[in-house]
Parts: sequence; C-alpha cells; structure tokens
Amino acid sequence: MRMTRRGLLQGAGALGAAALLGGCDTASSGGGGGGGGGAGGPLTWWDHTPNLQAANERIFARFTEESGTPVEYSYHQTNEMGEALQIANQSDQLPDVLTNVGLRLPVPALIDEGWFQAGAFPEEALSRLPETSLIEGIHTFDGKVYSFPVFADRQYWAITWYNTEMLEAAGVEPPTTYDEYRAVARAVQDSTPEETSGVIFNLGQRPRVAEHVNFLAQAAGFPGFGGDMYQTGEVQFHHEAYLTVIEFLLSLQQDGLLYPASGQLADAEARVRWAAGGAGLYMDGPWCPGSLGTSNAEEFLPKLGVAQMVKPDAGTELAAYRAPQGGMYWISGASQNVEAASQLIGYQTEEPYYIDIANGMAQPPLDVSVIEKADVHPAWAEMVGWFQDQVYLAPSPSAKNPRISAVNAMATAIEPDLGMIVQGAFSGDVPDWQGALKELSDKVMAQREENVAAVQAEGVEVSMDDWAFPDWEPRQDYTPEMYS
Amino acid sequence: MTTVMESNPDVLRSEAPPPGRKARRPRQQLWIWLMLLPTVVLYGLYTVYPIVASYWLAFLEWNGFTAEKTFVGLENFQAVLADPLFWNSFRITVIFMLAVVPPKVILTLLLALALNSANLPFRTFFRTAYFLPVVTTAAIVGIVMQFVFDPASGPVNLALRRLGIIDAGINFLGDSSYALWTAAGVYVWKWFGITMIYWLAALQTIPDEVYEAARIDGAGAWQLMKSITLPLLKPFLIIITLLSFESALKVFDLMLTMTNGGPFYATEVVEIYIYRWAFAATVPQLGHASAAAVIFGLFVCVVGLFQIFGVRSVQKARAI
Repeated sequence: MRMTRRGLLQGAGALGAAALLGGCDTASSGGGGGGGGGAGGPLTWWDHTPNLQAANERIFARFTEESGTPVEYSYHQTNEMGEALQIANQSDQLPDVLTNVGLRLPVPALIDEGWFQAGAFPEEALSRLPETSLIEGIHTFDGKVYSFPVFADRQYWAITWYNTEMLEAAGVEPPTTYDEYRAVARAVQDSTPEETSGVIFNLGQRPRVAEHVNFLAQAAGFPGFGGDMYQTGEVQFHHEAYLTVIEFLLSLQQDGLLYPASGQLADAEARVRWAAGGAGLYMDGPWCPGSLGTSNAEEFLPKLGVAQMVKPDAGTELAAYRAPQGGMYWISGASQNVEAASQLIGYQTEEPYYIDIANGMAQPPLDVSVIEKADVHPAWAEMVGWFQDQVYLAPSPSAKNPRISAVNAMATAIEPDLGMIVQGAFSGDVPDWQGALKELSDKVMAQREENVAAVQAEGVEVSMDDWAFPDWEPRQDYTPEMYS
Repeated sequence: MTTVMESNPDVLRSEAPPPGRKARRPRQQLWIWLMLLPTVVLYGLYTVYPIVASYWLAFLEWNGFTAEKTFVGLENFQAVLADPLFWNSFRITVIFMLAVVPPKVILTLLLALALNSANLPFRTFFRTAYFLPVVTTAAIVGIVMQFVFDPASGPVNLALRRLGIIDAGINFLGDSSYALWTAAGVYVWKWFGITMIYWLAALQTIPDEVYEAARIDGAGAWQLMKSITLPLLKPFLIIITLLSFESALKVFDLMLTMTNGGPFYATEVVEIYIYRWAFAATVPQLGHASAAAVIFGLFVCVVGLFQIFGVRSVQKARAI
C-alpha cells in the first residue's frame, strides 16, 4: 500500500489522539507507578523518615522473600509529605502504607474520610507490644487497631548537640543553663576561625522552631505543651516560661553568637553546616546523629557530643512532658492489600526492628532496652538514658475524649503562629513579640471555644474541660488509668 | 453589499466554491480540529479547568483532606479581603513589580543597543551569555542564590568584606530590609536575556537606510539615537513594558525557593500567600486560597487590559 502525505498525517493524528486518550486514563493499574491500592501489584510505601530507611529496607526484603510481593518505597521530605498526600488523595493515588506527617486533621476525622483503614495485624505481632501501648482514640478506634507506636514516648526535641573538638579547644564544658550556653558559644566563637559561630539555629523551618520553643518552655517551667496548660486547659503562649525561652534565644543573636544564615535555614541545612564546622552548638531532636548524611557522619560522628536540654538556671530541675504518640505507619483507605500491609507493618514489633531503629539513631525505639544490643554512638545512648529520668507521660485530650477530634477538625490556621512570631522576633519585624504571643493565645482559645460550641450544637458531647486535667501533677506520669 | 451581489451575478458565481471543493471543506475542517484536539484538550485540562475549578472552590469551605465541601457563598472573599496578610502580600507584589520593571526595561535596552552594534566583537557570545539565565530553571536559581548571598560564606559577602565595604556579612535574604530588593535583583538578572532579545528584535525592524540617510545629512550618534532609534522604538517600549509588568507577577518558583516568603512575610507575594493557604497552612483552606487566587486573577486581568490598550495604540501608531 502506498502511503500518501495526507494518509501519513491522518494516521499520526489518530495515533496522537489515541495516545492522548490513553494518557488520560488515571485509573490505578495495580501494577506499577506511584499509586498504590491495587491488588496483586507491589506494595507501595511513602515515608518521611530517612533514619528508618535501613530498618524498613530489611523488613521489605524479608516481606518480599516470604510473600513474593515487592515493596515500592518513596521518600518525601517532612515539609512536603502533607502536600504530596493531599494531591495523591485527590488523584486517587494514595500508597498502601504511609506516614501521616503533614495530615493535619485528627486521625478519627481522617478515618471518617477514608484516609486510613484498620489493619489486620497478626495477633502475634500485637502481643509483642507493651501492655499499655495501644490507646483508644490514638491507636485504636472503635476497638480496631489502626496503627501502633514504634518510638518511645519519653523524649524531647531540643537537645544540645555540640562539637567536642571545638569545646575542648575552647576549654569549656557542655552547657546546661542559659548563662553557660552563652558562655560556651562565646568561647567557641572566640577560639575558632572567623567563619565559625557559637550557635547555629534553623529559623527558616517554623514548625521546628515552634517545637524547640515548646520543649524549652517545659524546661523553663511551663506546665503544659504547645501553649496548652495541662491542669486548666487554658492556652498560654504568653506564659512567663515562653517569654524566658524566647528572650534567651534572642540574646544569642544580640550577643553576635548566632550563625549569620540561621534566619533562612531549615533543620537539614543547619545540621549539615553545623557538622561542617559552621558552629559549635546546635539544638535538634534525638534524630540528629542519624540525620547527618553519610559523608558528614563519617567525619563528624567522632566529634559528636550531647548535653541535656538547656534550662534557665542550675536550680531548676529538668522535666519534660510528652503525650502518648500516635502510630508512625498507617494503611491507606484506598489500599486493597490490607492483609499484606498488616503483615509487613507487623514486623515492626519485633526486637530486630527496634535494634535497627536504634542503629539508625532516629527517635528512640519503643523498647529502649534493645539499645545495648545496637551499634549506636555513645552520645545518643546517653541521651536516651536521660529521657528515662527526665521525661514524663503527659495527658492527651484525645485519649480523654476521642470526640474532640470533631473540634480539632474545625480548626483553621492562625497566623502568625508560634514559629512565625519567633522568626519575626529574630528578624526584628515583630518588636512586640510578647504582645503577639498574647494575641495568639487569645485567638487559639477563642477559636477552640467557638468550635466546641459548634460541635456541641450538633449533639456531640465535648466541652472545654476535655483539655483540662486537674489531677495532673508535675514530675508524674499521667497514666492510662487516670483518664477514667 | 447585498444589492451589489444581487445585481451582479458574476460576483455570486465567482464567490461560490466549486462543487468538489464544497464537499471537501467539512472533511478539511474535521482534520483541522483533529490536529488541534491535543492542544484544545490539554489547554482545557490544565488551564481552563483549573481556572473554572478555582472560581467554584472560592465559594466552598474545603481543607483538601475531606470529601465534604461546604458552600459558604462569599465568606472566603470576605475573609481574604479582611486578612491584613493578603493585603501585605498584594502590596509586596505591586512593590516588586514596580521595582523590577524599570531597571529590566531600561538596562536591557541599553544592552541591546550595545549588542546591536556591528562593531562590537564577540557580540554573539555576549548575547548567549546574557540569555543563559533565562533557560536556567528558576527553582535552581533560587537555591543557588541562597548560597551566593549567604551572609557567612557567600561570594557576595566575601567580596564586600574583602573590599572593605562591610565589616560583617549582610543577611541579604534573611533580613526583611534587604530580602525583597535582593529577590528583585535576582529576578532582573534571571529574566534580563528575554527582554534583551525583545529589544534586539525591535532594533532590527529599523531599516539601515534610515540611519544611512541621516548620517549623510550629518547626524551624529546622539542625534541618531534621539531622532531615529528612540522614536521608532516607542511602540515596542509600550509592549515590552506591559509584558514585563505581567511577567513580574509570576515569581512563585523563584521566590519560594529563595526566601519561602520570609522573613516574616517580607517577600510573601500573592502567589506564595495562595500556596500557603492551599498547602502549607496548619490546616489547608483551599476555598480561602482560591478566593485569593480569583481576586489576584482579576488584578492580572486589569494589567492585561492595559496590555490590550497598549497593543491597540501601537497598531494605531503604525497605521498612521
């Protein structure tokens, strides 16, 4: 057959149209691609924790060997995970298993919306968990297990990490109080080359800044977390403890001890620059040594040192409080591989997985006793030991009354938030940051009252008292029995 | 016209297509539309649909995580218009636009005049060099500029310190006094080449004969510029300026990667404000973000109207 020019064009047009129409088919193939949920294809897994990658790869390999099903792993940076999940959900491409960082709705609301489904975890896997690990309203809902913790609750996220070589060269000991912190930063800065600062901070990552300030406020005497006072349920970002912490942080800048680019650095960038010799001190979570990156870790880990969370003065006894945390991994509502996903996640209750978590030096594993069997940096092991003495279980409003999720689901963003106010205080754009904190407290409280009233009007039993725990005592665990 | 056609059958006869041609026309049109189909479909999916959807979303309360979307009428528009941070971002967008367009238009004209000179050696090399940033991804430029302007180890601060101009590093991107102006400078540099190309094209529309005639009449370089080049470039000035105004409203990728709208909203242009409400807020509010996008879209339309008037005035000037 002789092909004419017109025939060629017609054929090409038809092929193009067919390809276009084919390309418009976004239905899950169940085979490859980023979208999960298809039965018979690989299990898809979205994660934001680089420190757990090695631990998870080992259970992936075991799972694939036992079931013949491969696991497709995708990493998303913490800041970007929520956006990725939001878009995946709207395009029906959620993975089988996901971490829920960035999903800002309460878990019950996400379950109602079909984001998560209950697991079919093997009984053997669940039986390995400590007795009080699963809490209704946090891990189980209507008696069904949706997720379980893999990390220990006892930890805080404003640890002082330091460069031992720099402190030794400066002839100073690791700091524990604000005055010592400033003195150490000064000594390090004065005894190192011009480019090295005393302290580096990640002011460019607002949520991380807020976490640091919230934990430091506890060390400064705030009886609550995230602005919420445990005993009364009031919101007090303008509490004396918050003011003390922010004044301390600002003093580092006023004294010229802050790494100059701190204003726009996210934690990952700040951590790398600190490890590269940009500063002597760096405030970070327990995952710091495991998040240095391969090239930095080899060179820097021998110089790594750790000190307890810094407090206003030596007379203050250090205490931090942390509520029971939700699970790390969840099975998406779109998954058609619940059995397989549950089997895979179930491996995470075994001792080798906890050892792998410890080896990755992420957050401490749920069973911290395995640390002695793990290959970890002594500074990280020492830090986990401090957590056992200094961190107490905090009360959780969700555990007291899971119905408050309806109130939390109605919450909208309030700007500027704590992280932004601190950033503005540093940049000089919020000279009256104390007033801004009071305004933030008032706005959060007013919004909560308004939302509680709206939910009550729908017949749901909630009240402002659900945020109050009058029987909470400092330096005491708020145990599961106390909710009743 | 009807009268002429009715009274003159030859006209009718000459305008009527031959029978075979008439039959082929629908088939030809079918193929035209088939060939256009990919563009129409893609344009519809990725341009028209999002615009229409954003108008609809602007009337809803929706966080993007739930299936439930509540119709709230004009509430989102009221919330946006009452939000001081929206007006802050609007003000920053306008300041940015006004800051970047004059230097971009004037400096690129001067450069194009130099590069248009036949006497300039390596002019092709220079044209390419100035155009290179245009083809560099804006997001990459934003990240690289964080290092370039780093107050501790960035080459700009190192140079200023070595020259003795400053004692301590300037936080060009982390200090709200400098951040917007630094971003404006980077934007001008990034898009310098494209405006330069517009000017070069415009300069090449001026016939050499006009210059030769003027030279024969004794005109010097300044007179050539003042009496020939600039008057003949005036219509292009209008178009290039308006295009520059419009493109200065699209800085999302550069600004997000370079400053993320900070410090403390100092570089939060409307596009980042919209993004923050849609994706980065504690609880995203797509309705609020869409309402802001609709309002901003109307502002862009106003700028676009000026562009239409500008094009018409150029066309009129050319017709004269």
